[in-house]
Amino acid sequence: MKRIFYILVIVLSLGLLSGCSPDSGGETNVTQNGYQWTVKNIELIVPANAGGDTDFNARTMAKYFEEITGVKMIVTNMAGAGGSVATSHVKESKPNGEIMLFSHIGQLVVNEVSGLTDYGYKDFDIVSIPAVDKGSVFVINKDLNVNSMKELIEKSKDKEIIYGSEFGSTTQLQGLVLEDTTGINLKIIDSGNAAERITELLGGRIDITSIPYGTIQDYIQTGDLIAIGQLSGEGNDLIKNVETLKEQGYDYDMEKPYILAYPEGIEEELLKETEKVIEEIIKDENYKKELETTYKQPVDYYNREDAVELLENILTEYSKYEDMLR
Amino acid sequence: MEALSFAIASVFNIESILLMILAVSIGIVFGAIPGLSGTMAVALFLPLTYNMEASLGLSVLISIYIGATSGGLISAILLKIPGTPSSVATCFDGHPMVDKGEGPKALGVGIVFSFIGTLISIGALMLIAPKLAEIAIRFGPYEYFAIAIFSLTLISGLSKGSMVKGLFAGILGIIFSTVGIAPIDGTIRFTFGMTELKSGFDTLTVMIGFFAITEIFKTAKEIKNSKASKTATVDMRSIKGFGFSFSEFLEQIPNAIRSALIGLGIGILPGVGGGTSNLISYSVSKNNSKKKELYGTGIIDGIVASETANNANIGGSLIPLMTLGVPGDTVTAILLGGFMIHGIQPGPLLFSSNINLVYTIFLSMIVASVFMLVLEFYGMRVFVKLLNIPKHILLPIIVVLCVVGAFGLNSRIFDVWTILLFGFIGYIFHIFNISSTPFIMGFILGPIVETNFRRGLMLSENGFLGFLTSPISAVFLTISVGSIILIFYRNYKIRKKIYGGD
Repeated sequence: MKRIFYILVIVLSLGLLSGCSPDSGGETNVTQNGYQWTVKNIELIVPANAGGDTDFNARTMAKYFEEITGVKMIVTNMAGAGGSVATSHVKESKPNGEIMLFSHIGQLVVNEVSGLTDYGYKDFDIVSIPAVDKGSVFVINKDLNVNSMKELIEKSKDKEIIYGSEFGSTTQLQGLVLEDTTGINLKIIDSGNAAERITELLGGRIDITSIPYGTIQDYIQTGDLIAIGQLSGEGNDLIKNVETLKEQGYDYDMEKPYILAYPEGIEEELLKETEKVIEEIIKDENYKKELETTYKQPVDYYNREDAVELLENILTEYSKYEDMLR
Repeated sequence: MEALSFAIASVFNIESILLMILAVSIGIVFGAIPGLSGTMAVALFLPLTYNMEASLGLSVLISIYIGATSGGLISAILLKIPGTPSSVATCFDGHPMVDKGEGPKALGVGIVFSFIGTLISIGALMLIAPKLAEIAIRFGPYEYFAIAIFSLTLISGLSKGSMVKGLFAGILGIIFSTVGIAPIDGTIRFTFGMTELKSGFDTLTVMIGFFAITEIFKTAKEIKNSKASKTATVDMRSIKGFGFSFSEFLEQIPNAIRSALIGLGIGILPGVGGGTSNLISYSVSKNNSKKKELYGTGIIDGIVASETANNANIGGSLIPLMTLGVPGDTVTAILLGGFMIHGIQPGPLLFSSNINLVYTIFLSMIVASVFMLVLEFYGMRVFVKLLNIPKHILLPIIVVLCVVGAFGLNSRIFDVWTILLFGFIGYIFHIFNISSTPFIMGFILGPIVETNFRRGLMLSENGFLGFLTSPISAVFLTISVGSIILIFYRNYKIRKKIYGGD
């Protein structure tokens, strides 16, 4: 018994000692334009679980970030409370360059509008919008016997079309804006996350919902589901077979920009250098390929100034629906 | 067939075999250690598979999943602390068997029937997946509500002793599940101004608290009063094979098949996770058994019910993932990411457009199950040695691991405080002789009941008729009402008998 005790002590001490060893990198990290990165590791907080689109975009960006700067970016998933656990954690962290947030407008704009959080993107130092999710489409079940948004709107005049969404998130807003811009008669109900909404749609319990194209592309091929319009105004070339709603004549444009941010009060130079790194990443061919392969996502980018402007516009636009979201 | 030969070539080469053995072992370790779970293991190893070929990467992840689900039985039986939420019910009969000196038998039964459960679900996945997926689609809010209500009525069967206490625990569990953001409308409930409480309590922390921390508190109290410092003595010398006879094996087959079907069924439903299948299977097994009073004293039926179901859940939750593109539980949600990183979006065409990959996954699942069986068999003797570590050294190590597991969930200390909170509540339950299981059931099922009830009402414009007109929903609700009436009737008869006629 004493022997086991001694063995345990030795093992534990070894563990402690190895944890105390100095960082392996003696050399400092220098980027191409000569900037010296003094921070060794950056914790990239993602307000979603591993395996999803936000997590994927974050990890991909982190990989290239490390390649370019030599600074290791560690992705930490902090899902919960609609993303507010992660955003409040970053908000309350020190702006010393060691922590960043990778989220999307759902957590930094919609949450504020819906009242889930009493803060928004303005309470962070935005670096840029490193990527945009343009892959969502409106899908309907083939049993509705309708082939286009126009026909669906017609049909809604007789009977409400049931729109499945996730209350308090971007999908609910997408439905509200659809009603506004097309005049369609919708009954917006809560059907849960993407996986749950697909099941509801297949089961015929909801008529329409918005889903990333990649997730249901097989169903489009088999004909079980029909994609009647892209939500993006600009349009995603990778899913050209689906017309955008703008092309169909409706003033609809809802994409999902991802946001990279530091806690408020970050040093100006660090912010600028980070922005430069992201600009380098988006030019990388391999990065582009990875996004396309996994999520049919084209590369898109807004620098800091444009990003803030875009976010301001989105906030103003979404605030119109404040009452309905709260 | 071409796909089959591709699969055989992919799986049976040195690299794959070694990686899969490693993956299953890692899974078993994560599963066996209380505090660490299969979900965590798969999430941790997901990024490592990005640079592997698609079929190898996915085989590795699924192997970890299989190992972890089964590994939970080891600590459940030997330490009375479930290694993962899917092995909670294994503690009920597993540990009493160790006390009776039948430890190796308990382990053997758990291992073999984990294997059988996995195989049955792989069979279902391979042969009738599309049909099962069609059934899964039919389940909407009404049906989920009904099944959750039905599962809640099973609570009475799980609470040892007073039914009132069981109900109390169950309702308390439901109350705790309401903490945080309400489903659908997002109202904040019971957070007392604390931001951390906004996301509510995580099932894993509740489980670690109630089963691991409480157990440690209990042991700490006992140790002061007794001289015995060993966890239990298990004699491995006279064990042949897996420790139980062929006739016992045959006897358990009906139980196993029913449990596998329950695990499979729950796995198929995207809205209900694996933590429930072992508990539901255990209750159903107990309610339908001729020896129901023996459940909880240490009979293999209980272990069979629990372990077959939780492993059958694996194949079950892969069915909606691979046929509909919809994950069946938290682990398959991570696996979905694993597919997509290789540019493969699972959906109805997966079987036709990626048949090679699909067959490789099937084959590697079967191979991984065999590895699991073999590794655990030889491991049995090693696991048992763990019991020789004195409790006052072993349990503190477990506490540390539980803290690591709790923190690892969302990288915040709050979850660590949570496990202490529930450990404390669990200990109070123990003092008042209130069973913890109904609490867990209430905690897990509460949100499912509430969310689906509200969604169902939304669908039908606040009419209750929808719940009854759907055939599946109506059936489950009737059974629930029926079983409640039956329980009251039985209690009435017993009291009549005790207090005499008139």
